[in-house]
Amino acid sequence: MTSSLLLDREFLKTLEQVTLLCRNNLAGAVGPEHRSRMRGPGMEFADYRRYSFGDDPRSLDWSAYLRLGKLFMKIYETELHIPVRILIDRSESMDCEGAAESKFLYAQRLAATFAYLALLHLDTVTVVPFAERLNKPLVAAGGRERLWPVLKFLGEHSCEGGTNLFGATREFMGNFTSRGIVILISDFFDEQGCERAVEMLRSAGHDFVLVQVHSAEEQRPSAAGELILEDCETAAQRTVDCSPESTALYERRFLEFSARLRRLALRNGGRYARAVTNIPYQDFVLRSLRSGRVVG
Amino acid sequence: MNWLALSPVEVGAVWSGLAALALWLYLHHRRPQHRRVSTLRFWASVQPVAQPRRRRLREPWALLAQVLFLLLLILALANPRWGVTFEGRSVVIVLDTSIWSQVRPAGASPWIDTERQEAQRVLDSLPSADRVLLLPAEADAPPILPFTTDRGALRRAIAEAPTSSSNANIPRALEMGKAALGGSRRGLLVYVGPGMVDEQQAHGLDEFRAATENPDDNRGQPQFLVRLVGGETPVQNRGITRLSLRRDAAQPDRWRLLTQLKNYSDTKTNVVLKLSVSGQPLGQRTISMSPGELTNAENEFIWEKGGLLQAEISPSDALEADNRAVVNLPTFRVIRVAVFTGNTAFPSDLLTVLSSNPYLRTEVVPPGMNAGVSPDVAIYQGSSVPGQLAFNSIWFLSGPASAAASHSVRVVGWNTQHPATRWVRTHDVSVRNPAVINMLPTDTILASTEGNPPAPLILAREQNGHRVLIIGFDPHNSNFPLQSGFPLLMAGGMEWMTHSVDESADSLSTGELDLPGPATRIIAPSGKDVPFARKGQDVHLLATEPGMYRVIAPGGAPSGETSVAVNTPLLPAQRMTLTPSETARVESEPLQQAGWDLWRLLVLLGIVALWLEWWLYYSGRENRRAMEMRATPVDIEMQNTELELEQTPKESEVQKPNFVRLAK
Repeated sequence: MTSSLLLDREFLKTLEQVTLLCRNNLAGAVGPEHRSRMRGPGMEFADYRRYSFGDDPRSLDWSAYLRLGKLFMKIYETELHIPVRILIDRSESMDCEGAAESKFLYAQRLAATFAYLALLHLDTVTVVPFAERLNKPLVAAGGRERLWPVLKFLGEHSCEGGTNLFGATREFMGNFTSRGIVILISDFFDEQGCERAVEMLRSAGHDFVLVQVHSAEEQRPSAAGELILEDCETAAQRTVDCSPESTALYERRFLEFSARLRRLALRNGGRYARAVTNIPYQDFVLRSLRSGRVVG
Repeated sequence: MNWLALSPVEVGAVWSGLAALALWLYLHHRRPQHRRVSTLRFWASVQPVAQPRRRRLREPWALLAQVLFLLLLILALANPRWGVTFEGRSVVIVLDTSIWSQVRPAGASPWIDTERQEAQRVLDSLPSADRVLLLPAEADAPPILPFTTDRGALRRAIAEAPTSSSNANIPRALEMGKAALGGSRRGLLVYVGPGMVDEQQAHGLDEFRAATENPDDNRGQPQFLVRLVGGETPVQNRGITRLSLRRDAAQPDRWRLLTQLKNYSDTKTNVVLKLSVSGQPLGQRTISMSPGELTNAENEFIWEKGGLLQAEISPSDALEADNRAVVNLPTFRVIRVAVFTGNTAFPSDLLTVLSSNPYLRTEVVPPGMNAGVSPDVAIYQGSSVPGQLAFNSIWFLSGPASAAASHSVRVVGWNTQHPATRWVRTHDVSVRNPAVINMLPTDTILASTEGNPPAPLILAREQNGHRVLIIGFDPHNSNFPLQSGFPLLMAGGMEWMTHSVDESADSLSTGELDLPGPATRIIAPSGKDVPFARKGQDVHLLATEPGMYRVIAPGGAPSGETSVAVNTPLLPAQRMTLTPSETARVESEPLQQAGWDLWRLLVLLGIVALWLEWWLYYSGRENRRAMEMRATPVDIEMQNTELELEQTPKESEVQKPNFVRLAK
C-alpha cells in the first residue's frame, strides 16, 4: 500500500478541528497543549486558594490583597505532554478475505488519523505494529510535518502471523513504562482472549481505547449452502451448512463477542469503538469516535 | 372454455416438466464452497456437516408460489377463452389474373378491371371480422395476400394484382383455396374471373363441385360462389400457340419453321403471318382460319448467323399477348478438321466417316505441310502423344509390330457415361497390335482390351486447355471402321471437343417450366428476377410473361448465359357453366357474443405469484432472521451496554468530568 493513499488531504484539513480526548487525571510531562486537573504553572487560570507559607510569592494576587487585605494565591491549570501509543494489529486475520476494503488498510488509516491528531497537538506518538510479538516501533514528535514518516512506516507493513494480544501487551509494558494514551486497533480474534491484555493496560494506568475493526461480511456472512471454512491464521478447517438459521446464529455469536469486548473496555476504565469497513473511515472518525468520546 | 394454443393435456405435460425442474432446483445442493475466514470461533456453534444429509426442501412456500407461477404462465400461453368463441369467417377469393384477364374488347374496359371491381364488391359484402385470403388462379403461384382482416391491404392487393400471360388452372386453384379453409369451421370460396377452362379443367371443376355439394358431407364444406366477367359474347381472338424450328439434316443452314395458330372466335377469319429474324423480314403469308380451328403453317428458309426469330400475326384482336411469338435461332459454324498423316491408306477410312457429317470440313495435310487455316480438331497418327498440344486432337497410336502382338484382342468396357462414347454399343470390335498407352491420373478410360487385367485402349484426356481423344490402335488393324460404332465415336468425339450442333429450336409455354441447370439467376423479359427452385441440376420456375428469359449459369454472364424463348400457350377456350348456387349472394353472418380472453388475467396473476415467490424466498427469510436476532440474549446484553454508555458521559461531564478536550 502506498503510504500517501492512507489519508486524503481534505480529511487532514477537517482533522485540524478535532482533538484526541484523554482522562484528565492522567499524569504526564508538562507541555504546552494539554490541560489537566493538575495545578501548577500554566496560562489558564483555574482557582484561588489561601496563601500558605512556602508558596511561590509570584502567584500572589496583589489586587485581591489590596481589596480584601488577605493573601490569595492564583492557581493555574497545568498543561501536560501526554505520549500517544498506537498498537496496530498486523496478524493474518486482518487481511484474509481479500476484500477490496481490507481490515488492515482500514486499521492503517485509523492509526494514521490518530497519529496526525497527536502530532497536531505537539504530542509524541509511537506506532507499534504487532502480531504474535511486538514489532519495531516508530516514534514521531514535533508537529504535523512528522506525519509523512508515520505514513511511510505504516505502509511498509503487511499482514502475517497469528494474534497474541497478551504477549504483545506484556512486551509493550516492558518497553513503555510511562503512562499515556494507548489506542489498540485490532479485530481481537485471539484464541486466548483479550481480557488479560486489557486488565494489564488498566493496571499500568494507561488511558486506553479499544478499536475493533471488522468487515460487514464478518458480522453477517452472505454465503449460503455448504461451506468449507479455513482459518487463515491456524489453517484449521470446518465444514458448515450456511443456512439462514446458522447465519443468524453466527451473527448472534459475533455480536455477543463485540458486546463482551465493549463491556470489558468500559469496566476497565477504557473506551471502545467498533469500526465496520464498509463505513468510510472519515465517517467513523468524525461520528463514531466522537460519540464514543475518543475524539472531540 | 376454449383452448386456442395448447390443449389441456399439453398444458399439464409442460407444467409437470417445469414443476419437476423447479423442485430439483430447490433441492439442489451446490458443491461446498471453500472460503478463508478470519476466525472459526463464531462458527463453533453452527452444526458442522459430518455426512451427506437427506436433501431438505428449502422454502417450501416459495416453491409452491413458483409452481403456481409456472402454471399460470403456461395457461396464459395456452390462450384459453371464456365463453363462446367468436371466430370470423375465413374467405378465399380466387382472383383469375391469367392471360384471359388481359382481354380488352373493342370499346369496353379490360376484363382485369372488371374482375377487380367484382372482387371489391365481394370484399365489401363481407363482415369486417372475416379474414380473407387472396389467391391467383395460376397453378403453383404464391398467394397474392395471405389471410388478413385488413381491408385496406386487401383493396390495395386487388387493385395492384398483376396480370400474367400463363394459363389459369381453376380447379387446382379452387382446391388450394378449399384446403386453406380446411382448418376453419365455416368458409367462403369465391372465384372471380373470365372462367375459361379446357376439357380437362372442366372435368376437374365438375369433380370439385361434386365434392363441395355432397349432401352427405356438407358440414365442413365452404360456400362456393363464382363471379364471371366478360359476358356471353365470344371473344374475337387469334393467337400463335407454338413455334418450332428444325434444321435440315443435309444442309445445316436450312431451317423449317412450324407455326401453330388458333382461332378462338366464332367467325371465319384471315390472318397475316409475318416472320423476321433479328428485325430482318423473312416473309409473310395469309392464313385463313375457320371458327375454333387449330392450324399449322410451315415455312422454310436459309439462315446461317442465328438470332431471334419472331412470328407475328395481324390484324390485332382483343388479346394482344398471343399475337406474337419468338424463338431463338441457333448459330451454325462449320468445324474444320485437319488429318496430319503420311500414310495414304489412313485418311481413306477417316474421310469416309468424316465426309458424311455435313457439319465438318476435312482437310488432309501431308507431312511437312501446315494446314491452310488453324483447325478446330487435328487428327494424328503416331506412336505416342506429345506433352504440348496445339489443338484439340484425336491420336491413333499403334503398338510395335511383333509376332507376339499380332493376335486379335476384343475391345470391351465402353464408357457410356462419357460424351464421346455415349452412343457406342458395339461388342464385336477386335483389334490387332494395340498400343500401350501411358495414362495420366486425370485421363478417362473410354474402352479397354479384354483380359486380366484389362489394358486401356481408348482414353479421353484434358491437357493445357485442349481435349485429346487417344485411340490405341490403327483403324486398319481392326474391324472397327466396319462397325456402326466408328462414325458414332468420331461424331461424339468431335462434339465433345468442339460443341454440340443444335438440330432444333423450340419455344416453351408460359406457366411452370423445368429448365436444364445449373443456374444462379433467371431474368424475365421485363428485366425482373424470377424466383426458381432447384431440382438437382435443373431449375423449376413459374414463367408468367412471354419473351426471352436469360438463365445465368454459375460461371457468370455472358459466357455462362443462355436464352430461353417462352411464348403463350394454347389457351383454354371453354366458358364455365354456372349453377344457381354459385351465383347466389354471400350468406349473411349470425351475430355471436365474443368470448373473454383470459391470458391477460393469467399473466397478471402469474406476476403476483412471481412476486410472492420472491417475497417468500428473500423477504420472509430476512424477517425470520430479524425475529431470531431480536429473541436472542445478546440483544439484552447489547441494550444494557448501550444504557451504560449513555449514562457514562453524564457522569463524566456533570459530576466527575473525566475527559478533557486537548485543544484550546
